[in-house]
Amino acid sequence: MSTYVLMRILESAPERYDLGIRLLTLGRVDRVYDDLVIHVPPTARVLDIGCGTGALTLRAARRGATVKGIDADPAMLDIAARRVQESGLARRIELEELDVAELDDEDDAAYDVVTSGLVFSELDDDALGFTLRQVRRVLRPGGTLLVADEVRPRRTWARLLQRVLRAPLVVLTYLLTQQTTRPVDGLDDRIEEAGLELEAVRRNRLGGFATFVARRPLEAA
Amino acid sequence: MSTASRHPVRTVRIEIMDTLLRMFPRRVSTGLVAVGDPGPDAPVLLTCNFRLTVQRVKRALAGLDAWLLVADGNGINVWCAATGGHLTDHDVVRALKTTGIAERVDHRRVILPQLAATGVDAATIREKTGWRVLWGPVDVEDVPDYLAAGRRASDAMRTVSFPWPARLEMAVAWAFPVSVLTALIGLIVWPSAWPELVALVWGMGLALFLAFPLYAPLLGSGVPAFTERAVPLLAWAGFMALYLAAQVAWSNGGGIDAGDALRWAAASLVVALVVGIDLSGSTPVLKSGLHADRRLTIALDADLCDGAGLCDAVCPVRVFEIDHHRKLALLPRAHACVQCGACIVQCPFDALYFQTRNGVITPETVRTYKLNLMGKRGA
Repeated sequence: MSTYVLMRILESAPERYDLGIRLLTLGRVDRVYDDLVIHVPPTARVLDIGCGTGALTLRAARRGATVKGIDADPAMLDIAARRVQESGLARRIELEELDVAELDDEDDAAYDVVTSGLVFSELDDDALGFTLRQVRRVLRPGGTLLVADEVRPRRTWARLLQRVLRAPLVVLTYLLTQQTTRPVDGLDDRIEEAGLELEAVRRNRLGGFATFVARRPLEAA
Repeated sequence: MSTASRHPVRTVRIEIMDTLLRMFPRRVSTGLVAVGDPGPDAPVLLTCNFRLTVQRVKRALAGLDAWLLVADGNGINVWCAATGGHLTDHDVVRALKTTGIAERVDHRRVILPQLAATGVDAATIREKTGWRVLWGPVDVEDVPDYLAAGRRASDAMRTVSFPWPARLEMAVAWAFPVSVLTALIGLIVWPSAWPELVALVWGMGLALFLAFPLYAPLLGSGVPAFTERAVPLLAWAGFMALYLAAQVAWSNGGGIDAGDALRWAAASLVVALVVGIDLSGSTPVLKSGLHADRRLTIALDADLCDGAGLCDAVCPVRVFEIDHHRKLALLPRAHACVQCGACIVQCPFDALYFQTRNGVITPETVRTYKLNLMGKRGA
C-alpha cells in the first residue's frame, strides 16, 4: 500500500489548506471574501457550495444569515465544524458532506443567496455547467449568486503573464496542500448560459482573479 | 465528450515520463470518452484521471466499443486515490451525473476497477444515482476477458500480484527521483563521485525490487517487524562485499583506500535505507510495515455477518471464503490482509472492522476518512 512519506503529506493536507490558498492568491482571499459577503442580506438563507474550511460560511453567518455549507471533503468539514463551534454561530450554520453533483437533492427556490469561493476552478466543464444549472434552480427568483474565483484573463498578454506569475505559487501551494486550481475560462458566459443575469464583475488588475454577482431573473422561466 | 485516439510516439513518451515520475500525481482532464463506436448497450467503465492509468485503460480497451468515464482522483492512480480519499463516492457520483452518460446508454451498470473498492461504496452510488457498481478486474489488461466472460472476474483477475514488470516499474519509480536528489547532493558534497552515486541508486533500487521474491518471506505480518528493517541492511552488506571484492581484485596488491571505502559504506547505507524505507508498502501484496501502530488486523463480528460475500468479491489478496450453509464469511487467510479496507467499506452489515493495538476502527470511520487519517485513528 501507499508509501510512508506520501501518506504523511496527504494526511495533514486539509490543515494546511487555508495557508495554501492564501499563498496562491497572495493574501487577497480574505479581503475578497469580506467584500463579497456585503451582498448577503442579514436574514438570508444561504447555500455555500464547496465551503471547505468555512471561510464564506462563517462570514455569511456573522452577517446574520442562516447558512448551509456543503463540501465533498470530510476532513475539511471537520475543520469547518470546529470553527463553527468556536464562533458561537452553530445555531445558524448547518454543514453537510455533499458534492456539487448532489445539489439536485436540494429543493427548488430554497435559497436567497448561493456563495462559492474557489470551487468552480476545481470543476471540469461538465460539472461546472451542472452546478450552475442547479444553482439557478435552488435560488429563489431574484436570488443572488456570489462567486470569487480564479479566472483566465481575457487578453493574451495577461494570460501569459498569469501563467508565469502563477507557476511558482502553484508549485508551492501544491507541495503544501496537494490541491490546485485551474483558472476558469469564460465564467461570465457560463453564468449567463445557465440562465442567471450578471450584475457585477470585478477583476483584479491582471484579470486573473474575479468576483461575480449574478441574479436569478424574477420572471419564472 | 472526447474520443480515444492513439499516437504511438506520444504513448511511448507518456509511458516513459510517467513511469519515471510515477510517485507524483499527473492529472488529465476528466469526463466521458468514447472508445471505438459505443452504442446504448455498450459497457460503461470508470477510471480516474492519472495520466498513465488513462492511457493504459484506453490501450487495453482498444478494439472494443465502450464508454469510459474518467473521474477526478486528483491525478493519482486508482488504488492510492481510492485508499487515500481522493477517489470517493462523490467523484463517482459526479462522473455519473454530470457527464450525460445516462442519456447515452439504456442500462445502469458501471464497471469500476476492483481496487477502487477501498474508497467507493457501491451501495451509496446506487442510492444516490440508481447506477449499479460492478467490480471489474484488478488489472485493466483483463477487462476484455472479463467482458467476454459476461462480466465475470476469475479469482486470478481479482487478486493482486507483483510480477517482474511491476517490480521493475516500482524500482524505476523509486530510483529516478532518489537519483536526481542524489545527483544534486553528490555534486555538492562529493563531486568526483556523483555519476557513481547515481548508478548506485539505480543498482540498489533494481536489485531490491527485482529480488523481492527472494526475501519476501522476511516481510509481512507473520514475522517480527525488525526483519523488514534487515532487508535494506542485507542489500547494503551485499553491495559492500561486492565493492571490497572489486577493490581487492583491481588494486594489484596495492591495498584498499580506507577513506574511499568508508565514504562508499556511508553513501550506500543511506541509499539502501532510502530506497528500502518501505519495501512492504511499495508492493501491492504486503501491508506497509513502517509503524507498528499502523498495523491493523481485519476482524469480523460473526453475529452481524449474513454471508453476502461482498468482502470476498473485493478482497485483492483473497482473505475470505464464504460458508453459504451457515451464511457466514470466514477469514482463512487473514494473515495476508494488506489492510486496504475495501471489505469494510463494502460490507452491507457493518460486520467487518479493523482491530488496532488499542481498540477498533469502525466501518463508519473507514468510510469517511479512508486510510487518510490513520495516524489519528491509530492513536
